[in-house]
Amino acid sequence: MLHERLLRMDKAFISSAERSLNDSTTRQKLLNEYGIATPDSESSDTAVENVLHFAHDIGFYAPLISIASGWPNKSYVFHFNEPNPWEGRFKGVAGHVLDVAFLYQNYNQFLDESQQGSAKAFGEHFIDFVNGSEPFPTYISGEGGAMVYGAAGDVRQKFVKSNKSEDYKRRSTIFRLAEKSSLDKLSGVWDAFMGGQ
Amino acid sequence: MGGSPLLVKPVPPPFAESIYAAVVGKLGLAEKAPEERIQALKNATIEDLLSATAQLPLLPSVDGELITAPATFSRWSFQDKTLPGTEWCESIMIGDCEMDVSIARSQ
Repeated sequence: MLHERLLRMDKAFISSAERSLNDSTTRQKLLNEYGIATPDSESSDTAVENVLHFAHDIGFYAPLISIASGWPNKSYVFHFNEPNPWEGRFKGVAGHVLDVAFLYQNYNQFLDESQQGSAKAFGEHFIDFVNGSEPFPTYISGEGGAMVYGAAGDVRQKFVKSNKSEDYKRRSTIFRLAEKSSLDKLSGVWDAFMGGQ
Repeated sequence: MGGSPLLVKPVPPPFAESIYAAVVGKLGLAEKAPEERIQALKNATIEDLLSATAQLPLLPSVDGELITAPATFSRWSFQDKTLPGTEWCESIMIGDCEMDVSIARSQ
């Protein structure tokens, strides 16, 4: 989607945000918090990564938490943090659908023992859920609670109960920005950028 | 399995219509009657369809039937209870990968 726009992506993002978000205080805070405020003249990977962090937070993380918090029935939340073991741009981090590769157990031969443990646990939890059993405790709005696969430390699969994003290896930035703005407005910034505006 | 309607939002009908018009134009069907268009679309090869839709955002649209309203955070917080799934769906399992956004950057 963005391959052709990687060059000077941060600069393009800044000008797009200036058009799509009138609230200059929130805009400046957004750019500062994600490290995009000063365009990187070398168009480094870090600059692109910083824009993508905002994209992840508004496109994946904030929707996940909003849906889980508002859902009137039971919701089970997980965060998949196992590092991608394969060579390539996203080696060492859990990229899109890496969880699916673990879920189906098809690639276990390429995983070390602890990652195989995460694959097995994720598979079992998923089957439990589909069968109407409790895979792990539910998410509670305001209190949190999520299964983390690939947690730091010796225990790889850990149910974490906390309302701090950082305890799940996520950024809380987007929710802090939304306090003075709104997730819908922040989402509009990403939509405008993706729409080439 | 990260992703939701809040990432790739359904587009309003005029936008969907403009995409349709662009595809129909590329297939050389702009002047044809609806029946002829349908027939031509049915007979088109996969290669033709792929080339006519390349680079165009083929997204869900707010059709008023299956998708009745735009996707917003307030709507997907279920405060107004307008989503029928809240009635019959007992539980959800939902998550994200740490760098799910890698989908936007494959290189």
